Amino acid sequence: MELKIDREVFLSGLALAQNVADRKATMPILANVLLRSDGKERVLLGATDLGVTVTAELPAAVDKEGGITIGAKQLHEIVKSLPAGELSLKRGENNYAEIKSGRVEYRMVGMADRDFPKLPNHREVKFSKVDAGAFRDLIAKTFFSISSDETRYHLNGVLFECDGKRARMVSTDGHRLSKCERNFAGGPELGQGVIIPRKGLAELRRALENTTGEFELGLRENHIFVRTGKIAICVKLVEAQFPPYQQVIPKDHDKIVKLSRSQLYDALRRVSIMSSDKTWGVKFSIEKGLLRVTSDNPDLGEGREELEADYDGAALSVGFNARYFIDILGEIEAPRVQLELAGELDPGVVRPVSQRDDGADYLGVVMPMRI
Amino acid sequence: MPALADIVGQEQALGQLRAALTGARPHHAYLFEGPEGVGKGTAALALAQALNCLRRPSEGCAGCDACLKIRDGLHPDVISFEVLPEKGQAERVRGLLPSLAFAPHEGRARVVVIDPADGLNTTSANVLLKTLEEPPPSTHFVLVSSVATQLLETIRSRCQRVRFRALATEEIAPWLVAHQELSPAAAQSAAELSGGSLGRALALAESDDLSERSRRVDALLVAVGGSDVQRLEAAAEWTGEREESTAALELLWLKLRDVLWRAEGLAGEPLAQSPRNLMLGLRATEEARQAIEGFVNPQLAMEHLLLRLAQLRVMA
Repeated sequence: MELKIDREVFLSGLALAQNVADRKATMPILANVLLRSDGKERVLLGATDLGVTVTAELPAAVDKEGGITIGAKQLHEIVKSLPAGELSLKRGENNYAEIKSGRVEYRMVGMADRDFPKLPNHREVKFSKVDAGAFRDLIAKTFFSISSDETRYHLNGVLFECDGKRARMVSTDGHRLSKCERNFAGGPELGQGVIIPRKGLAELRRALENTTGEFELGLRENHIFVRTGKIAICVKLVEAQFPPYQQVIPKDHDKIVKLSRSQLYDALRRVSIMSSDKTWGVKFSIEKGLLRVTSDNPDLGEGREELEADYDGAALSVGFNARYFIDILGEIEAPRVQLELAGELDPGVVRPVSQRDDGADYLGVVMPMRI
Repeated sequence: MPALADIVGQEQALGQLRAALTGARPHHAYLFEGPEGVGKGTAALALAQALNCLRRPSEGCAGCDACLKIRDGLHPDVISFEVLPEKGQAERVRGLLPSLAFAPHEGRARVVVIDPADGLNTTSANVLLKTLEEPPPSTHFVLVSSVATQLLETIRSRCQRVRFRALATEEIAPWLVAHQELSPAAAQSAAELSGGSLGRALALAESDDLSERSRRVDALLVAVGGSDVQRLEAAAEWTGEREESTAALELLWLKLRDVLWRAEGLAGEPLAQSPRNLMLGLRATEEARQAIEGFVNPQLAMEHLLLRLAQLRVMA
């Protein structure tokens, strides 16, 4: 392989690749970035940790076709330090890579490109154009409640459902659940939901950070593909069944409290200072026109705050993990939220009072605690 | 790296694996058990090749990209879990499990080889238990052990057991001639002394003093059949040679073991000596070896052993 490529172009691809390349993997080649010529005018760049794969097609002048893999981090550092302009890359004997720019020369130890794991091919995927903002919002509103218990594979990601018009993401760790729905015109029509793992979701979010407008989304054979311009990211889906989350969402809670989102958010942050570090337990007590948040920790002391609330039912108090409510409230934009309760051992539901007109629908379910 | 077809002997074990492969229902957890050096680890990789081979599915060709990657340890779906007796072992097992939640990367099946499985400590084994019982789809575990009895009962009961046997001399010797360019005579003696282990036969074939040691051990056996004086003279040759004498006694043990096999009709021609006496002779040899390792005078231990073998009428 022998080619010439512009430094800026190369660097943009390498920056992505070195994020994904896995230095801690048991397979040393995963720390490398794959470079392979694709015709005379393009080079394909790829990196993978076997879960997330990023590929980029970069314009280059290919003199001799072929491929090589080189340490992603070092190559990124090298190219970053080189002066602007064109640099040349050549595969020497024994998979050495020779990099030249002006009077700078490097020889890097590489590995054969045929030993690199196969990259999922995004050219055969049927892509649909969808709104990047909506996708980012779906991720943001569900990401925090993904389980971090790695033995529960099926909860280590977000359930993604889409019927071509609306899309839904749901995540739960067994103690709380968040569900977000948005209009998603042109999205892929999925027969059943797929589970996107946490790490892949984080990469997708990063890739779409600066994308305005639309991007391309596709699914094929246990992979979800996202393409923006010449860059494609592919995430391997979790092969498991997501629990039937509808059963967890209470439908007939009769005690409905409406109050200011920011007041509840601030109150929880203040009062939870006095709660235990581990459980963040606080007590929600409701009575006519009032929500009282109290925390009582024999080691530290007590805190309490009363909030005005729109409520006209019977009095009730329930214990919750304040952290869980803070996470959900932090993702709600509406000025007022609705808290739905039933009994002291029933889960609580929180959702924005006025759903937005763009079809967004969001709710969180939090399991109660005995306090 | 040989494919399934190139593994020496082991018809029963391979037959069991082939039946599973062609029936397209390989078990999700195998326990390959049997003596050291008879092909368990090789068979584990060959099984991985058979499951992932691009050219000859369910047999393995040892030549396609997938088979070569497995041979070189580069296949992303064939995980050889390194069993190290270190502290963080259970953590490493825990770290392995989440990656199994995904479909294989480029192959048809993921194979996790744990060799030697008896090196797993109790905590690691328990971490593995749940996944071993019900691994994600298209994931297969192969546990390899020469002391399967040392595995937790809960681990053993979750695996389908595949038994590998010690190889016959007639299987090892031709292989050594074909693959190691040994002379037939050298191959024969290495095979005879290997105790049915191809791995040990290879090690023996590479060591130089084998023929010399073998000659001296044969001299011992001749002395057993001779007079008391001859026996004492033979033992006197071992004054002070502590290391060499323990190695020689190992060899003697193997030779007597072969005699016992023949006596039991495992390799034809029955012998005129009682298997019971041979067993006692084997035990006496082992005791003598341990005694020398425990700093008993080698000459004394040899004298004692030779007299005892003569008493038992052991013949080579």
